[in-house]
Amino acid sequence: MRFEHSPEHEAMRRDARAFADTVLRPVIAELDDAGDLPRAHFAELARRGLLAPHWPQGAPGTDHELPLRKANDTLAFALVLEEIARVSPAHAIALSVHSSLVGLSLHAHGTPAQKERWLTPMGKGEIVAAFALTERDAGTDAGALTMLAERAGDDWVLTGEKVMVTSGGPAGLVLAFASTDPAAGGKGVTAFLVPGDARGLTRGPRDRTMGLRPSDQRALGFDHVRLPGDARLGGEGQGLKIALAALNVGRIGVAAQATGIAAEMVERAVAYGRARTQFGQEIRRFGAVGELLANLALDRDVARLLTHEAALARDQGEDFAPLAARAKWAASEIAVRAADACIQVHGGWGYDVATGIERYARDARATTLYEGTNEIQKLLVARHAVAEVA
Amino acid sequence: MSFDGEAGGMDFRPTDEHAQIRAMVRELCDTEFAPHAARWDQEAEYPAAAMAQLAELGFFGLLVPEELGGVGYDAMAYAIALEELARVSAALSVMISVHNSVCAWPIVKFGTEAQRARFLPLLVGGTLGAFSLSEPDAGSDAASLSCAAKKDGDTYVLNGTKNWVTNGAQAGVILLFARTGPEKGPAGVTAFLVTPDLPGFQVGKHEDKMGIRGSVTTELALTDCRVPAANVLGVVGEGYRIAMSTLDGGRVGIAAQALGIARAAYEAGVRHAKTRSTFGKKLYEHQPVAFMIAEMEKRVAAARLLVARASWLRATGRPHTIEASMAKLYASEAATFCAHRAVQIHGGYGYVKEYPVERYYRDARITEIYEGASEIQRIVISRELMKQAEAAEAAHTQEATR
Repeated sequence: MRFEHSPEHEAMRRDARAFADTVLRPVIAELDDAGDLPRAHFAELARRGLLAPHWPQGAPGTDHELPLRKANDTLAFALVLEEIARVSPAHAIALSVHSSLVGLSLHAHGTPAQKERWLTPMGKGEIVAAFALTERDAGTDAGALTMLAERAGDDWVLTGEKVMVTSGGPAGLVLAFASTDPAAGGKGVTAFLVPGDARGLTRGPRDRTMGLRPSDQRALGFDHVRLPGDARLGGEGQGLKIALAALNVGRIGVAAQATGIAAEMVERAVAYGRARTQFGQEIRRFGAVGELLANLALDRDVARLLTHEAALARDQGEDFAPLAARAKWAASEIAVRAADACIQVHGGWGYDVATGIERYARDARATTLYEGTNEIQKLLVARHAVAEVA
Repeated sequence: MSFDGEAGGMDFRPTDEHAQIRAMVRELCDTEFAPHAARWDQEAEYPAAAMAQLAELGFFGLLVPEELGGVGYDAMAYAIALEELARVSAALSVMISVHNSVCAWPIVKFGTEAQRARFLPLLVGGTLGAFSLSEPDAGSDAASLSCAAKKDGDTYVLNGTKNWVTNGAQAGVILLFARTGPEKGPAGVTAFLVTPDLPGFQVGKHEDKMGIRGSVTTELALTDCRVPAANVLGVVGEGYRIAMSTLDGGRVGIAAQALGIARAAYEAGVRHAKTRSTFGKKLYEHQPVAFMIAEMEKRVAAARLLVARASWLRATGRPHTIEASMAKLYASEAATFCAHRAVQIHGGYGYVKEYPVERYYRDARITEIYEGASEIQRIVISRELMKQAEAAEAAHTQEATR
C-alpha cells in the first residue's frame, strides 16, 4: 500500500488547480448567473494535457503534443475533476461526460474510422460531446427507453426524444441510445454516433436547473434523423451494455466532482473559522464550530479515499464497478452535507449569493441523482456485499 | 520486517507480506479463539490460555524490534493483526493493543538501554503490560491528573488513584503517569514504569463492564508507593508529551480494533440476510435490508482505508496525528453503526446471546470512548486543520515574497 501521490500525479493536480483558480474562478459567478460554459475551456484543458489522461496511449485524440502526457490513468482524471470541481462543478460534469461517457465508449467500441473522426477533435477540445440515454419515462429504468432506430436500406432512422442531456446545446457529437428491437427490451438497445449537425436533430430550450447552471442541459429531439450504417457504435443490441459500462466510469467522475465540492467547502469553512471573531475569539475555537470543521475534513477524506480506490481499481484492471458505485454514493452524500455545513459555519453570510457558497449547495444536489441515483448505487453495493460475504 | 512503501504512487493493494500476516492471524483466530469468544464475554473470563498462546506466537512483542527480542511488525502489519483479533474477540484485541501500543512501544521508543534490557524481555516473554493515565477526575482532560509523585532520594513516592486500567489485574509492567511538578497542566507530568511488586501498589476494584468483558479493567491504588528514579521513562516533566505521542499509535490500534468489530458485525448481518427469508424473499432482497447492508459495507470500506492510511503513515515515519484521529473517530462510529444494524437485521435473534451480534453491539460501544473519546478526536482534527491552514498560509507568503 501507499498513500502518497507520485510526483507526476502531484504535478497533474497542481496544473488542474492552477487552471481552475486562474481560468475558472474569476468568471464562475458570472457563468452561474447567466453564462454558457465557454467551449474554449475544453480546448484549454486539452492544451494543458488535462482533458483525458485516462484515454488509451497513442489512440486518436491523444496524438498531439501535450505536457504531462498520461494515458490509461483514471486516477489522474479523478484528480483533475476534483480540482476543477473545487471551483466549477459544472465544468467537471461536462468534462466527465465528454471524456469518460462518450470518449471511453468510443475507445472501447469504435471502429478505427469512428475513432479517427470523433476522438481527434474531441481530444483537442474542438468539439464537445454529449451522452443521450435518459428519456421522459426512462430514467433509472434505462432499458425501458422508447426512442426508435429503424433500418432504411443501409441507413438508420432515429425518432424520439432525449431529456436532461448535459452539453446538449453545444454538442458536436451526441452518443444516443435507441431501440433497434423494441420487443427485446433492454437487449434491443443500440448506440449511435449522431453528429451535432445531423438533419432532424433539434435542441429544446435550455433547462432551468437548480444548480450546475453554467452547464448546458436540455432535451434533444430526433425527428427522423437519418444516419449512415457506420454511425452505429458497437453491435446491435449492445447499447445498454455500452451505456452501463460508460456510467461505471462516469460514477468515478461524479465521485471526484463531489470530492472537489467537499474539499472546497473544507477550505472555505476553515478559512472563515479563523477569520471570523465572535464573543472575542475566532469562531473555530468554539466546540460547535470545531466539530463542524472536523466532520467536514473527515468526510472529505472519506470521499477522496473511496474515489481513489475506485479509480485505482480500474487502472489495475480489477472489477471496479461496485467500488465506483460506492464512491459515487458516499461522495455525493458528503458533498451535499459539506455544502450545508459550510453555509452553517458562515451563518447568514453563507446564505448570501455573493459569498459564493450557496452555489455549491445547489450544484452538489445533482450529484446524488445523476449517473444513477444513490438508491441504485446502494442496491449495487448491497449486491456486491451479498456476493462478497460467504 | 522490511516495509516496502517508498516507491511509486498511490496503491491501495496490500503487500504480499501483509496479506500473509492477515491470513495467518485470521486462521489462528478462527480455529483457536472463535469457539471461546462468547464464553469469555458471558462469564467475564480472562482468557489466560489464549493470551499464553498469543505470547508464545510473538503477539506480545509485535512492536518490539527483532534485535530486542520482538517480531518487529511495522505499523500496518500490526493494525492488520489487531483487526483480525477484534473480528473474533474485541477483548483479546484490546489487551494485545494496550500491551503493545501503549506499554511496550513507548519503552522501545523512550526507554534507556537499561530499561529496555529489563522490561522488554519480560513483556515479550508473556508478562502483560498496561497503561495508566486516567483518574477518577481526569479522563479526556488528562493534563489535569492529580496522582502525586514526590522525589525522595533515589525514589519517587506516588500517592493517588488511577482508573480504567486495561490489563490492570494481570499486568507485570504498568506505564503510569503522575504529577512530579507542583504546577497544573501538562508541564508537571512524568511517566513511570511501575511494577506490582512495589510496596504501596494495590490493584483496586475490577470494573463490571458493558462489553469487552474478557478483558480486565481495574482501578489502581497507590499509597506511598515507592518507585525507583531509574523507572522514570524519558525526562521528568515530559510525561504528557510521551502520553500523547503514545496515544497516536494507540489510536491507530483502537481504530483497527473498531474496524475488526465493524467487519464482524457486517459479515454476520449479511450472512443472516442471506439465510433468512420473509414474505417469500431472502431478507437481503428487501430494499430496506439491502440499504442497511450497503451502509455497513460502505463504512467498513471507508474505515479500512482510513486505518490503512494512518498505519501506513506511521509505518513510514510520516506525521499522522490528524489521520490517526480520523481513523479512530470514523472506525469507532462505523463499529457502533454496523453492530446496531447487524442486530436490526437479526431482529429478535439479534437480542439474544445465542447469536454474536449483541456482543458486537456492546463491544463496539467502548471504541467511541477510550483512547480519546470521539469529541476529543474532533478537537484534535480541527486543531490540526488550523495548523495545516497556517502552514499553507506561511508557505504562500514565503512564495509571494520570494
